Amino acid sequence: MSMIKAILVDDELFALKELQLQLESLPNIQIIGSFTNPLESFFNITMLNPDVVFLDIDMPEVSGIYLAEQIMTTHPQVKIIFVTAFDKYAINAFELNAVDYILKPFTLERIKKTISRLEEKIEKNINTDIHSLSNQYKESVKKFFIYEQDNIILLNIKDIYYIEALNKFVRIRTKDRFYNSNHSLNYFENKLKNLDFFRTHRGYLVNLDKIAEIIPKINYSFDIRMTDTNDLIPVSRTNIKLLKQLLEL
Amino acid sequence: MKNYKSYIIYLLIISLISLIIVIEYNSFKNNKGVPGIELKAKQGILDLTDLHFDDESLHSLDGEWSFFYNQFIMPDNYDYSAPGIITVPGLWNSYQYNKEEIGASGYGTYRLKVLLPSNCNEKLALKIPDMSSSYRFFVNGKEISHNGVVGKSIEEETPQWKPLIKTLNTDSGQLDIVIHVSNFHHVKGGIWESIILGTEEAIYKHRELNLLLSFILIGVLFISVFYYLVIFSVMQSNVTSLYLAMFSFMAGLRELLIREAVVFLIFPDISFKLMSKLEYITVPSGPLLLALSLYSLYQTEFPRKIMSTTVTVFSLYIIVIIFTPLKIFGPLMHLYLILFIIAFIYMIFVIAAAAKKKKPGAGTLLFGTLFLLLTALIDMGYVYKLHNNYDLAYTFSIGLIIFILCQMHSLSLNIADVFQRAQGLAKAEMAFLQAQIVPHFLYNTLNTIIHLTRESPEKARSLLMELSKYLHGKFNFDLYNKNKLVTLEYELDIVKSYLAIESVRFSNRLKVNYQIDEQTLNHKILPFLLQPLVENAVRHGFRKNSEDCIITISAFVQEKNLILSVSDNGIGMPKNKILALTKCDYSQLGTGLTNINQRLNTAYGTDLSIVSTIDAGTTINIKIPLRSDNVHDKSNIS
Repeated sequence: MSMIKAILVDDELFALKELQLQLESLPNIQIIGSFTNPLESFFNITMLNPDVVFLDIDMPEVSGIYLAEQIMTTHPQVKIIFVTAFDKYAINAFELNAVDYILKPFTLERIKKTISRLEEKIEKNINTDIHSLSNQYKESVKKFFIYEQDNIILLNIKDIYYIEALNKFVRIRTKDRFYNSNHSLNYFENKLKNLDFFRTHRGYLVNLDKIAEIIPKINYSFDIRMTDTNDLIPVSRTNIKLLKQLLEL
Repeated sequence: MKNYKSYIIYLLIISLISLIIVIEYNSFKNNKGVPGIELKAKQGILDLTDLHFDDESLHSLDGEWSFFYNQFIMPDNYDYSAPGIITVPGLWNSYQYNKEEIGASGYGTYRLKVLLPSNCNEKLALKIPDMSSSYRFFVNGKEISHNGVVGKSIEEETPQWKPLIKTLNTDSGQLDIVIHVSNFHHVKGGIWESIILGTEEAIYKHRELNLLLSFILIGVLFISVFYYLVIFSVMQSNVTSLYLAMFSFMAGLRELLIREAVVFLIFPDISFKLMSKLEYITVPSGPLLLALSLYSLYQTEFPRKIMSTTVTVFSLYIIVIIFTPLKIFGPLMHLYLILFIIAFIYMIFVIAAAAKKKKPGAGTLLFGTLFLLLTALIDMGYVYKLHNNYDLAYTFSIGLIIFILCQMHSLSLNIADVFQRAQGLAKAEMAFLQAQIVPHFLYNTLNTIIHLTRESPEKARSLLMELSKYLHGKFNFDLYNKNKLVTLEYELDIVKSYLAIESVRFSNRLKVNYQIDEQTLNHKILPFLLQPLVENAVRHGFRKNSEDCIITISAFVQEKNLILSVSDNGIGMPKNKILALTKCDYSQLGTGLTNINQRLNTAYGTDLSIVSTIDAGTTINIKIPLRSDNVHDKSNIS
């Protein structure tokens, strides 16, 4: 059987080194890359072409779960193994038990077991669908991956002015242009939950920092004007009070 | 209060209903009670020949009566050419005799001839009020009633205030009324209330209505005494209810003594001295007990000095009433009524301040107190003859009922609020205990140590030391007793161990600035205030991958407050979370912040203050007042 090519991702250097040491002691694993920066790892995946990625969950900027979701989208053949210090209770809460995972601190026995299960999966070519899982895990993200034709664009949250729901997709507005995404507005609302985005209207999710002014209209409803773009976004009557309170802070 | 609007509507409805009660009650009495008010006595004669008596009609014998000062004229003396004329009801204090005002003390005879309608077949009766301070009442030559014993000096006189009803023999077609009145006990002399004539049925009906009002009031007041005492017996910390029980008791006592003087039904032989003292004591005890209860409710709005001044001033008067005769404590009442109004208005401002801060029940209480003051003023207006509307004389009693109902409502809201907060606190404490053990921090640290044993046993050793120090702090179960305090130094030591561990884990990407004023180290604070904030700061700081995480912890004293501050340069806190904290809506907040805020609130009455910008960082400040009396629990550990 051929060697399994592995990439390791953990923002803690010692944790990464420890995993590396343990895995190196196994005969059928070949480590082709170790990263403390999860984004760097993502952009090296195509080049390195691994069989498996060992991912820490609790990482800054992009969580392991969001990253896993992106890897599954772009490289469906790559297997994911989470390496985490979250206890079993937390794993259950995130509904990640469908995916394989190793608890920190780990023993060699536990790693061996995981690897043998991994070999089985590679042999049978079983992919785990974790798209649905990412929806459960309501951790906010700092960067979005936007797929346009053959390009992957990494969109900074703070560059987003607002997101608009259109018929079958959503449109993300930045200063200079629009990006389309197939995810629903609710998906984005979940991801942007703790980042000062506000659902002004059924069809609009707005970055509070990009609001220039609130304009009252004749029929007692309101529009907001965005900075730079000067786009007008409607605010539903029920949301105006909360919006004003948030802006006053 | 969330539904503040509905609350105001609710208040408006109460005030409307009570206004209707007052107006209806009075107009009822005006329309059906005392008709023909224009028929007044003139020069000692009241001509009622055109009047038709029916079951409903009452007529007050008001107007000009003949008056014989310093004489007790017997009714067999038919000389109607009296030396003077006096208005009834009224006081004789300003009556001119030998070109001098006679003042309160003295005695004299009132006389009035009432001409009855010729075809008067109904049985008539008189409602005779109490007079100042004793009287003998003759009708057509026969004595029909008396209050006390009239006399020509203070020694001879025995005062009594007891309203009576007497039926009359009206065969002669007229009533020759002679009243001997003497007063050596009170500061106001004479017949101070209307004598009312009517059919027996109407008179008794009038009295029954008055009794009904008295019974309702006395019932409400004494039931509320019971209600407050029950509350106090189960919640001894709630002194407010004890004061309110006393307030209601005093109000109930007053109701027993005034109007129809229901007390005579229970104690027919009650002495004048006791009765007058009790009646007077009920007046200053009102503002006294109200001040005490308000102080216990709204300490921040009611300065202690003003409270104690009010209590002293009114207690003094109660002492004066107990130990001096009516002649001395009576006149003082005029002065005290002014103080009474001032105290009341001040307290209304206190309640308004509390209502502005939306303290539970303050709105209702404000309404009740305003209403009580208004009715008290109307009542005083009658006593001082600013208006002569007898029907408005007892408005105060209705004010009292409304006030007591508002008071009950307010107290219930207060108790409900305490109850809800206690529930919230219990929840927060659970979360607090759970939040203390952060397993994945522990596992990550152990993982790091496992690796360091290979690479640098020395580093591993020092990390284990820090971990043990940290765990010692966490597992100090003594501190989970909510009354315990620790020094800031103790709290900081745990924080330092925590940060030492984190900086090893994150390979020195964690920078910590300590800006601790040395003098603050010995101040006692609640445990676990700083640690969760620092742990949060580290978590948020590291959300930004590219930069170092910079944490600043500072402690200093500012305007008698100890300020603890934790800043990070992390992702920042979303506005909706900060808003949730200011609204005390804990459902959206993390357990850590919720718990800290609730404990700060309970122990010091302060809130966390958060300044945050998304993607730039967060600063969280804790304010701890240094006045020792603001910390409820004084047990310490160091």
